[in-house]
Amino acid sequence: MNPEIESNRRTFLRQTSSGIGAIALGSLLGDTAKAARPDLPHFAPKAKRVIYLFMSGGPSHIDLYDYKPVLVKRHGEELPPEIRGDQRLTGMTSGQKAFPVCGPIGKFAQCGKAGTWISDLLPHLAKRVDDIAVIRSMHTEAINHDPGITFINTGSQIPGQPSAGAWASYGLGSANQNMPSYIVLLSQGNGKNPGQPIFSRLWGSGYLPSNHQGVLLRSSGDPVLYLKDPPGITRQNRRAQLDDLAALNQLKFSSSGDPEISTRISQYEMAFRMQAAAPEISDLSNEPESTFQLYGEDAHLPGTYAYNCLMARRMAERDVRFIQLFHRGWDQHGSLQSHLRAQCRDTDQATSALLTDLKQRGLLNDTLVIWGGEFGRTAYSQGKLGNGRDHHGRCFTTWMAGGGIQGGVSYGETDEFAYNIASDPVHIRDLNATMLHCLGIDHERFTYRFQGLDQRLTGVEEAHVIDKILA
Amino acid sequence: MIFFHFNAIHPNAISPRVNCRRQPIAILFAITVFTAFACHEAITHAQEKIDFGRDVQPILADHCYVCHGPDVTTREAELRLDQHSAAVTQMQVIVPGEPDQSPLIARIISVDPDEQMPPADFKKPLTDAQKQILQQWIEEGAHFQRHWAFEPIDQPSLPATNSSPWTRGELDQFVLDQLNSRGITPAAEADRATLLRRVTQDLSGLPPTITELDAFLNDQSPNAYQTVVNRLLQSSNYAERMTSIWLDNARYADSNGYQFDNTRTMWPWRDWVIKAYATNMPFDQFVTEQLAGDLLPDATREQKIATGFNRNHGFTIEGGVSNEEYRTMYANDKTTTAATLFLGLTFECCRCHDHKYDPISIKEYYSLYAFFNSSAEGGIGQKGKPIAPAIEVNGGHVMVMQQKLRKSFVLTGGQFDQIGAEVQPDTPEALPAFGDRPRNRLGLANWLTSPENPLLARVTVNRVWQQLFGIGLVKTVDNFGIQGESPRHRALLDWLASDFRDHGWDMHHLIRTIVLSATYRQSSKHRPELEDAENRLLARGPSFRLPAEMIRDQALAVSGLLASQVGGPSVKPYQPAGIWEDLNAPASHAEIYKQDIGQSLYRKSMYSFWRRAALHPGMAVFDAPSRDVCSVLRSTTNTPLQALTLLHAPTYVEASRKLAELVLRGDLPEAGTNQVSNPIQLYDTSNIIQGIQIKDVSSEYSQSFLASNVLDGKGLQREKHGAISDNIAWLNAGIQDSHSQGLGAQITFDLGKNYNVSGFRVWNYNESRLNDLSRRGAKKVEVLISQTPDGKSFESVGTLTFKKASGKKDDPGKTYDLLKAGISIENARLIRFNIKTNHEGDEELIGLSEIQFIQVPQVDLQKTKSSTVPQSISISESIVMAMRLTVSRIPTARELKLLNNLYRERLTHYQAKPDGASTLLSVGESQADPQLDPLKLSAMADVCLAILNLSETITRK
Repeated sequence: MNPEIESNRRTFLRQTSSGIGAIALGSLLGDTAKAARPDLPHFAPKAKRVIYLFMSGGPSHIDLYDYKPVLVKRHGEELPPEIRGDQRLTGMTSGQKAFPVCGPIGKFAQCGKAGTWISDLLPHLAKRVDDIAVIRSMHTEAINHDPGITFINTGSQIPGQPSAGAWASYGLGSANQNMPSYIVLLSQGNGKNPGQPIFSRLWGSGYLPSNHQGVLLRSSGDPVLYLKDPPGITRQNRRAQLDDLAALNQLKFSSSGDPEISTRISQYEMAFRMQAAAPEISDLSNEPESTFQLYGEDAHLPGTYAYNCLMARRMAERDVRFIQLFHRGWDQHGSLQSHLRAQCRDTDQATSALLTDLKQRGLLNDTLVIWGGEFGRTAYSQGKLGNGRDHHGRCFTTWMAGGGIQGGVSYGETDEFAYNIASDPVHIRDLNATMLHCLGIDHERFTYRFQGLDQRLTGVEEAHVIDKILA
Repeated sequence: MIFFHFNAIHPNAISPRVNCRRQPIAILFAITVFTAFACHEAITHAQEKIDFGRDVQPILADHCYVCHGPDVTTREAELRLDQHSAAVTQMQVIVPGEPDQSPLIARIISVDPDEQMPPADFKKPLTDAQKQILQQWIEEGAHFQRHWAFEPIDQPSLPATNSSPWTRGELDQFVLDQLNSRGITPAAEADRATLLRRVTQDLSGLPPTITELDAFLNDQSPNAYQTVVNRLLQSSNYAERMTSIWLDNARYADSNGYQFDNTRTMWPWRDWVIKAYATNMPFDQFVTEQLAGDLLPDATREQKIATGFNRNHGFTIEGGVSNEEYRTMYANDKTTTAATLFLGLTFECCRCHDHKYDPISIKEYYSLYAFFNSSAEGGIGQKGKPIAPAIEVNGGHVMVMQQKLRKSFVLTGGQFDQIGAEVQPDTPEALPAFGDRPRNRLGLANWLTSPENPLLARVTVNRVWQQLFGIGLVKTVDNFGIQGESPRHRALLDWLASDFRDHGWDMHHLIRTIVLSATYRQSSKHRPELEDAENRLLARGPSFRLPAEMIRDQALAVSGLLASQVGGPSVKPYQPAGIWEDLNAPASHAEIYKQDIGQSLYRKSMYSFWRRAALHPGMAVFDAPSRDVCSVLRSTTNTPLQALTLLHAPTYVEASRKLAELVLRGDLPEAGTNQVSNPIQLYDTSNIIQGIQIKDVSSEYSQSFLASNVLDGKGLQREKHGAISDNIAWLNAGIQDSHSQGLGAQITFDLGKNYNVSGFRVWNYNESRLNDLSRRGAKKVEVLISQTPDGKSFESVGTLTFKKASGKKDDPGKTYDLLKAGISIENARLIRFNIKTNHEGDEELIGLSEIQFIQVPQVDLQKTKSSTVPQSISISESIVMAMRLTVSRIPTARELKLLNNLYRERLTHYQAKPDGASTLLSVGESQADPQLDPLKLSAMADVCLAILNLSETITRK
């Protein structure tokens, strides 16, 4: 190596340990790690991070979680008009002449110590029900995918608001020096393929600073866009280049005093670390065979739900703040029998494996896991009896587990047709308030001034933490 | 005294209530404590008189208005604190001059949880300093003021500080006045290279070329900087730069948004905007044509295309949704976009309820909405098709507006099916009356652009200020309401706004006023001692990270790759595989990203295909918005993903190699600048046709007013026109007689050979600034052409209306885009103006001062490979050139040493691993120059990549 270059590099490193350089080095240690909100958390958090298993399309609460014997008994009979009421239906079934009740396609049983009802379509989860709190009284105003998925991910049906993950990143920053604080993974199930499209604004930052938007970890090519060094560049090469670049930037910082320059030096350092950290996360070579027995063989295949669940655990281990999986294919307007079963086959083992794995590593204590979609599905058939189910926002099921949540709990009830909420309604706002609560955040005080309003993830209407499912 | 109750939980209670469940807070609190705890700000304020808008209203708004503000539905105890009559006269919670007698004060200092305001569960307690401000305000008489932004814009008088040699204009007097009052001196002027770089980036979106840099550094004339500014304003780059910002504002995209986000054709609207900026269309007209071009009398096709502005929002094609729901949603989008852009008000809030802070009710929201609701469009679209009405342009269909009367109603809770009272199109009561204007979008545009409107000029000027200073005079560019920021320099804002409005909404004038100021020219070196990180004091020049588009465009420009075609369909540059495919739409809706080839890879980023659901990662990473909704403010983050992009994205790797080729060859003036300041731009001086002669003329008034004056070729010497005296213009005499003979005032030009002509630049007759005779200028002008020099057969191609001369010393002339006017001049040898009227209407004397003809650019878009023989140029010289091209300055000795070392290190590396070099050189579609040594080229490319990655490179300093 050229001694003169080496000397410059030393000079730079010497500078960075004192004086102006120290400022740069200080911010090396995490400008993004620094929470944007020094007032947070408001109280001691139970969860340090979130894994959100988002089931896109609207999974059927009726077939999976919300057991109603009446639906079995009255299969094929007309849904009583007083149950159906006069609320909006989607254009897909609003013209139907008949609304025949359609019983669940699987068999339900009570599982775990808590005796939680669960369908035999989810045999693996059935073994973990004592870890989860099932909320059967979720509801939303949205009945179509685009507004529905926007609502549940951003707290508003109107596009352009920050996603829940962006809020968490903004409020709490990153606990990992080498990775973004909000990471998104996508997968497609075999149920309805392709499922409803999803789009980057679901993990967007809206009016929050855009460094809080989710970063998509991709299953092919570079896991993070533009991550890889060009061919022929070694790590040492890159290190040397970055040192020279830092030295040049440092010179300019000294003369201009622009603090953005020192921040930028630190961002190049984090980029350098991320180049090692991101592939390391997806390098499964050190995972023992037992991992794949647990998650299923699919976990070897990038882009599958099982693989993403395993990635979620590996990211949780590395303290990524908000990990969100988007799994598509839950939109069973038709082919209910085959497609819903396929969806469950693709996901059930890996979901419960994730819970098991987090628990055995002691991570479930401080990781909040959320499973749910944008709405549920109708108790009546769309089209021919048993063919499929339409969207249903009046009630659906979501579950939470882990940090701050009591396991083996069921909360909220629907009527005997699983069509309307009978008790303890939980709105998207309440779910978000509860999520923030587990992270040590009072959703009412967690605001961001935009358009003259103190905006909140939970919006302007009242929202309540679901106290009864808290640990 | 009337008892009242503030508590949000019990709206019906009208007297103080004892609540035993709550424990009294055991803190003794007395007014006298305030002073002890008062923070610095409060003390500062205590010394001067309280200003309601600045000091009091923000407190009331933030802490009280939710329950005691404009929203009637959430109002408690029938008390509102936003109006004098309500708070003082009716409810008497405020007794002017008597804080001790004012229940308001009693309640805010109370320690009784049932009395205390705001109530504890509101979670927004008042600070001691805030309590003190309220107290002092009442003591001083509790004066309410109308919200500042709703006051008419009167031109403020200039501050007394006007004798400083530092100031260059009125703007600076306002700034200096504020600085003086704080005992601060302005920063020194930025060095010339920095200043040129700054103004060039700000006005053209590109860095200056080396030629431009040298020209400016060598121009010793006192007007050197003005000359630069004028050059920049005339360039199509300026039009593109302004348009690029407007695209965010107007939520322009090439896809439909919502569920499937299929592609669409709205670029003809985008091109309309470019043309409008290129011709410096007055801003009031710019607003009017976009809002209501279709309603103008005899609306042209272009004016209809302009209304695509209202249709830029997304639309859904999702099955099963309600048509009416989405139609309503689009009308909401149009309403809130117009409110944000033209009024700076957050109307979105009132879609579901009365505004919590601003005097806008839900009824008023739907009254404004009613203007936009009367639209012919439907709610649900189909893949690959626009929602009618649309105009066909080049095979695509651009969506436009068409009036269709519909009844409008208050929609309770914002729900499309919760229909309330019927409303008529109207504007909010807090703003000037709508009057007897037609109750349609045209009437609305007329109301918006009327001189009485207090908001349009302020909001617009503020956004331009943000463009040039990085932060608005009102930081909340989207909110001029009560919760918005009070302007830091109110008089300056109002002065600029009134000046802009009173100069015919002339955008060039506004921009010139700002960039020629001493304030703008200051060095941007940080002044940490002022504790003013955001530069709100304006005690230094602005410095901020470049927007996404400019970062990429700069790399393309300095490497000679930039293709400078203006307008046209959006293009698909390099993009990592799978970005669109990640959306994984069903096959029937899948959109395939097919990367373009050739010049389309190197167009400006504003032409890159803008897909809402999957924005180009190179744009998204530098904070470009998805444009799902109107956006007037981008964040400027600083992230590791940006570093990865600049180091690895093929655009930057290729640009660094092309830059390396240029600087190794040392052939910049030919290859580099030709590409960078490419002459294909419509309004570039190189397209001005030279050597024109007068073929014939109907008459000349005297020896002093010869027709040949209009062709002396000195059109760009602005002082001449409108400033001095005779011998500068042509004046046609005896027109009435010639009219009676059907001749008119005619002048015929011989272009010397046959041309396709795209524009005229006209300095209309003025004669003298002191003796304003601009009314003699030509008005209606019929244009005729002949393809042969003999002039035996003239063909009329259309009629133009020439604007009156401005009468100003620096009149830049007026450029007429013939394309836009629907006039086609092809293969013309002679051009004849048959002038039918003058601006006075007496048609007695008609004249012109100067005219230029602009030809359609003749450019070979195929990049020619450099045939320059590599010259002997040292590595240091190459590095200096790369730095000058990229950051407009020569490197310091230390920088040069570091970069030289980097070069040598990389060369050593590639000599050991030649394969690495060939891989690097193969990035991108362009070929590496085979005449250059690949190892040296690779090493220099790495040096150039480092230069492209400097923080300074992507900073507007």
